[in-house]
Amino acid sequence: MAIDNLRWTTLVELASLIRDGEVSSTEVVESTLQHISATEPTVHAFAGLMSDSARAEAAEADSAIARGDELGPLHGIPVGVKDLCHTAGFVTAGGSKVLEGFVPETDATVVRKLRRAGAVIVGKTVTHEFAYGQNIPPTRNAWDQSCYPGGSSAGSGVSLAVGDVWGAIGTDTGGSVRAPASVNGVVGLKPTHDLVGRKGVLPMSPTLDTVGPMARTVRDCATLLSAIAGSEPGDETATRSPLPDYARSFSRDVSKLKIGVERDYFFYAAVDPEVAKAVDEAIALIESLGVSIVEVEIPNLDLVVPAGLAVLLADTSEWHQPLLREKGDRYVKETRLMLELGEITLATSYARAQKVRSLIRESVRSVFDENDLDAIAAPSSPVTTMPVEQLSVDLTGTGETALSALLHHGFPANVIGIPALSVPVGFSSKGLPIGMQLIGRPFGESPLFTIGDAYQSTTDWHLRHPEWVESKTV
Amino acid sequence: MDEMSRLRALCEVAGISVDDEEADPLLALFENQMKAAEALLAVEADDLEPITVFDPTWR
Repeated sequence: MAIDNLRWTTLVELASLIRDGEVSSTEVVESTLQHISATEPTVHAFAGLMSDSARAEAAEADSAIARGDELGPLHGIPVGVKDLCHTAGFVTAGGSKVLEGFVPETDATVVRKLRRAGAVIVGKTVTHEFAYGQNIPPTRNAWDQSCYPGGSSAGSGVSLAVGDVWGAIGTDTGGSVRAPASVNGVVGLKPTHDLVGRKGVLPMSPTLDTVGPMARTVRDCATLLSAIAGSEPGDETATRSPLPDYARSFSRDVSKLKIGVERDYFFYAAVDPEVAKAVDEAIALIESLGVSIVEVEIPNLDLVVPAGLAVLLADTSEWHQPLLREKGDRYVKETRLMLELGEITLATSYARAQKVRSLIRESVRSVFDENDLDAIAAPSSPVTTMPVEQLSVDLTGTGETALSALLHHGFPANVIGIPALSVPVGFSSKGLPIGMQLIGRPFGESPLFTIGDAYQSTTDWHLRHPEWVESKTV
Repeated sequence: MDEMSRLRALCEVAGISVDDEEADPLLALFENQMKAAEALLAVEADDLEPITVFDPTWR
């Protein structure tokens, strides 16, 4: 089978082809490494390539098939991992000169689970420095290289959009999986807090951080989640509760599902009209498939960013405290300022923020329960991507920058601890991708996958790829 | 005490030194953060339980 034809196949289909011997993992990984070398000069999605170990893992994957071993759901599949996740024997720098040359001795839980499922880790994807989202990374948007790639899981989103890998891992503390998924036209899940173990992942805040799967389709994303979710010996951050097989979430009747649409917060003045229109059209299409739609009001959402930031600032600075004193000059200025701000955030603000979070959570829970909702639909990001030099531009004359607007839409799911799935729902008049997030109940990922998959089964946004990539295909 | 002096004092207590060229942007961030703190303090919170151990379930 011609490798070229597999570039845009789904992860699920590729896994089947490898399992059935139609193509070897070695062939796929060699093709992947060549494709990455062709696309990297344009998008800079990888902080480091693990070519030697990837080739060895692919060879072992092929040997396992020849032996007739039991195979995992990701057997032989090339995957990228955000450079916040420890990889044994390979540099994990968190996008920072502060950790330059740091080589962990063990894999993060998420990396261990990926390997156990058979994935071949081909490289570490670029992150903003320590995922803070303050600096501009070298990565560029897959669709327009003058534009922001989203963050902080920038490399993960871009590497998927340009066909480098079939799955990727990001982290999401305030939208960092959903924003790069949205602006690069791929799928990303911020899972329920504690669904995916965080051990071995460079932290920001223990109550806001999540590790999430990214892929080109909802089904691929669900398959990745099944591989990485749940308990792991020695990792106290992951739930021990029994979990569903997310990869089999798609048989449910969507007519039993119900979505709420909140306007005041998620469709506020800074939302680009083209983004609002695309999300509304997606909601209408989902309704036509049989899902019930209801307009809802949610009080207290205006407290999300103040409460989330107070917690984020203090928690992140707590972890960085010794590094800021020993290697403060090695941080980029923007990150250092945020860490210094966290050092002088008042303890009373932090304590009040934790109380306010429970108020916000109760507001959202009530709306879900009173309306019997499975999800709330909203733009993943209020805007499409923008030229990198405009990241700090005041969007609406209110003092809100593009970066803070991203936090506005990303933070609610983290502050409350609930899941949110970003799905591509169209393109702007400039040809830039638009994403919609489906925000769910705690551990309610399956209905989000069901709705997202039903939507993708009747649309082709997720099947479109940047034209320039075709000329790079080897 | 003016705002910059207040910022410098807080940094001293925290044990961090801030370069002169970064003091102004840090002060701007700090003033913004204090506005957010005021918004939080305006919430009636006597009956709210703080999140200490994060349990995302709400049942």
